[in-house]
Amino acid sequence: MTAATYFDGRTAAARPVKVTRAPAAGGVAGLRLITEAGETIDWPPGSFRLASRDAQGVRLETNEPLPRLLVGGADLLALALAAGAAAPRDGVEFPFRRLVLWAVPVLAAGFALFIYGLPLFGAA
Amino acid sequence: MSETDQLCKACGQPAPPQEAFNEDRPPSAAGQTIFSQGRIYPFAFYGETGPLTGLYLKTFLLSLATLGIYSFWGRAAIRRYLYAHMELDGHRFAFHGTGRELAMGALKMAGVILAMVVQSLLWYLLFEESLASVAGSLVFYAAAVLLTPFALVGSWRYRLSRTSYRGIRFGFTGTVGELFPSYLKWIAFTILSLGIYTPVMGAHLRRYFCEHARYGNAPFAFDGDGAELIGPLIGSGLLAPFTLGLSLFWYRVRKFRFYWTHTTFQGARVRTDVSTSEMLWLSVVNAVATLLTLGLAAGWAHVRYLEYVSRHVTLDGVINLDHVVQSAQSASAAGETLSDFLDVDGVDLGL
Repeated sequence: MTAATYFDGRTAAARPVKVTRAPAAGGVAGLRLITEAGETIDWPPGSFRLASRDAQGVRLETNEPLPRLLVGGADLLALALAAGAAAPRDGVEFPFRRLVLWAVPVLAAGFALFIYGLPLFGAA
Repeated sequence: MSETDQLCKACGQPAPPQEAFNEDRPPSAAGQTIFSQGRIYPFAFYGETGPLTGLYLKTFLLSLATLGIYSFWGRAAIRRYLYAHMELDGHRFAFHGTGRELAMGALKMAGVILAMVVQSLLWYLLFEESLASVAGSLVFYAAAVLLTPFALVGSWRYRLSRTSYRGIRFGFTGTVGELFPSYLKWIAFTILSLGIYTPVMGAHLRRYFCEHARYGNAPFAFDGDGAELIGPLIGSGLLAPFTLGLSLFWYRVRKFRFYWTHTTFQGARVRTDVSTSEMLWLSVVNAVATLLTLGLAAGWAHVRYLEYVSRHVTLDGVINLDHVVQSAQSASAAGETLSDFLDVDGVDLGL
């Protein structure tokens, strides 16, 4: 169980919650949020995803149109991944190896353009 | 966070302390979030050069390969990354727009943009070159002026309706029909005054857009008088030839400060201490680096700019966010495309 801050998508009020795995009914379990008042809110697997993560914390969001938000530490991410978080949207994460993957063809294309393209352009 | 991280990477100065006035914070009810008078809450940007450069590269390459079609998805992804790393009082913003929306908006506006471009060419069939050039430009700029309110309203409505903070969406309630008569009047005054009225018109527009902008159900406000900028505008214009245009840059920063320091939200006021010299140095270094690396440093430059602005713009006042209620709004991205084409943008934070 880990502590997090919950935004219900109806008001901007921050609510402290405890987060744990929901009881599994076959397959992956999902997340269970328990408010200070004892209310439980279940996020089924696939209904939430990573909105952003960095040294300052981890943010999970549910789907549109009323996005609900859960903010916590690194242990929340581990819990979310185990509980069936959906793939993050494009732009949320871009690890270094992917940067290299994209940089290599760009640099190669630029180099080829410089070596072969410019002389062709000049000749034309 | 280390001591080094607390320094502004653009200007080298210490960042404003986030919890500098904790003792002044009034006791709050359970769970309530209070922005108290005299307590300054700065923005912070945590984006990094690596991921942003990667997103830029990916967008560039795939846009090239798809003849520009991917650019809408790339732009949405970049904006999502930037918003997700912009913070106010420990909470991040979020962008919910999609590439599909931007592409659909562009499709809707393609006819208008095409008509504007084609008409400027058609004149060459009717008149000789010099006359056709003048007529084409006149019609083009007249159309651009008339379309600006559509672009601004559409862009603000789309951008704000797709932005959230603490799970609550922003919104925009203004309409073109409401703005257009006033806009025509301001344009007429600006033309008749040979441009001297421009700052007043800018402030009127800013007021309209701020007063129709909402965070959930809570409105923003603007209390600036554009007449304050007339002197600086004339002065910077007169000095421009002798300062190689630097005075115009000074005016731009002055206007930035004016717009933001007159913006309020529930009584809390935006403060900024961006300086002309630091902004100038930042812009020059960013431009040179981007140029020398053939655009590879664009991500680095964007991160530097947002780090600087976020460290020098703060919010000061008393706000109870717990009472802000969701008020979602639908919007098309057509105005976004038109505002890009006309190069008009009211949300001048670089996001």
